[in-house]
Amino acid sequence: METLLPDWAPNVHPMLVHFPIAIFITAIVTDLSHLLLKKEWLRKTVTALFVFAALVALVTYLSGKQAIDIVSVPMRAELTASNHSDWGLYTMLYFSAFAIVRGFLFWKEWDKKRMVAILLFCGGVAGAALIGKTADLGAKLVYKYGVGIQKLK
Amino acid sequence: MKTIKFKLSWLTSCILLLFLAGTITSCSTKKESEEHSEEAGHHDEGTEEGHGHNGEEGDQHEEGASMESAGESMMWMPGDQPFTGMLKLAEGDAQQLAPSVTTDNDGAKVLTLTLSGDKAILLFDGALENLGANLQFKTDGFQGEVAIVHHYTDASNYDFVSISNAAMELGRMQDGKKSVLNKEDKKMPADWATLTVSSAGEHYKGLLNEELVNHGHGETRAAGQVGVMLNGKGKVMLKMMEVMNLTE
Repeated sequence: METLLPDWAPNVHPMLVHFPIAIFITAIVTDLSHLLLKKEWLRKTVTALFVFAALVALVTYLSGKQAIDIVSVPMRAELTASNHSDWGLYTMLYFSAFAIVRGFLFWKEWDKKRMVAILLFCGGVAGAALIGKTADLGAKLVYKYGVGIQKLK
Repeated sequence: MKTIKFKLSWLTSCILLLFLAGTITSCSTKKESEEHSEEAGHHDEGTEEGHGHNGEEGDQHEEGASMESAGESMMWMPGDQPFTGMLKLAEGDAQQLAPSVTTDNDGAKVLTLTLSGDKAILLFDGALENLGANLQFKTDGFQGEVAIVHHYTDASNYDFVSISNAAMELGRMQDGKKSVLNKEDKKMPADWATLTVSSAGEHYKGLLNEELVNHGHGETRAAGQVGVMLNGKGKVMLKMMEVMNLTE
């Protein structure tokens, strides 16, 4: 796996981190469209997107667990790294649980009910807040403390 | 047709609202991080000042121990007399340890302690919750373990990273009962080495000469003191200890 990485990349984690963010936000916007337009193809797309987001979140979390032990973390960044790791875990667990719930409701076709659909949309927005917090801490690690970057020689 | 148009305009308004909310959140986060950066900047200045006054402070103290304190970090280096600086002997007999202060080849002072199978604990004042610590040490015919203790509340309750001739481990003493958070094979270094520990939230790391050796996890515990624990038989030399309070 490491041989596939470009020279400048410290590990695979920075390559993956943007996927769950982008897919989850896309899923929320699609969910909002589904809420308003009530199209069956949008309902299917939303469920597929949330399940995909959960899978990508799991892979990203595992890559982060591997990365934290191989990159050099300055001492003053350790608390941020610790919090990023914890929030990454909460996000991954939330995404997984949310995908399972959505999958179940989709299978039972209970997500066609207006109130259920609204609650699910709110659940998606809550997930976006979690990933926002995780991403903010990750960005702080890179742009404030320079974790995982190489200085020019 | 009219209904679809109405729904689309509602959808557009909602998306715009989401963008607006996102922008406001992003701006407030940015402002907060800028404020933090400024604080960090002040801290750095403070640290530099701490360095600047180092000599003066050393003169102010009869023991002559080098001390740096910038609120967020503390550094100890041996003074002319042992056990008189900010790293105080909390457990062990000062006379039995036969302490002596010498000067190393690089001009730095070295505190040498001779242990005869007993335990010695030296602690900084003040309690920290999230912290990082570096200890520069060397051993001479020493059989036992050299450790950095943290979250020390009493002799039965503390966390530690220790190195012996067999292993390096992260551990916890709770009500006198030891539990190992992580343990890796490692030998005691022959030359001067730096033992490092970081305790951030539930994450604990142990490093030797800047190389990560241990990574363990444990429940957070109340703030406690930080220091050095020596347990065994033989000579241990201490050159420097630095403790840093970790904040986001």
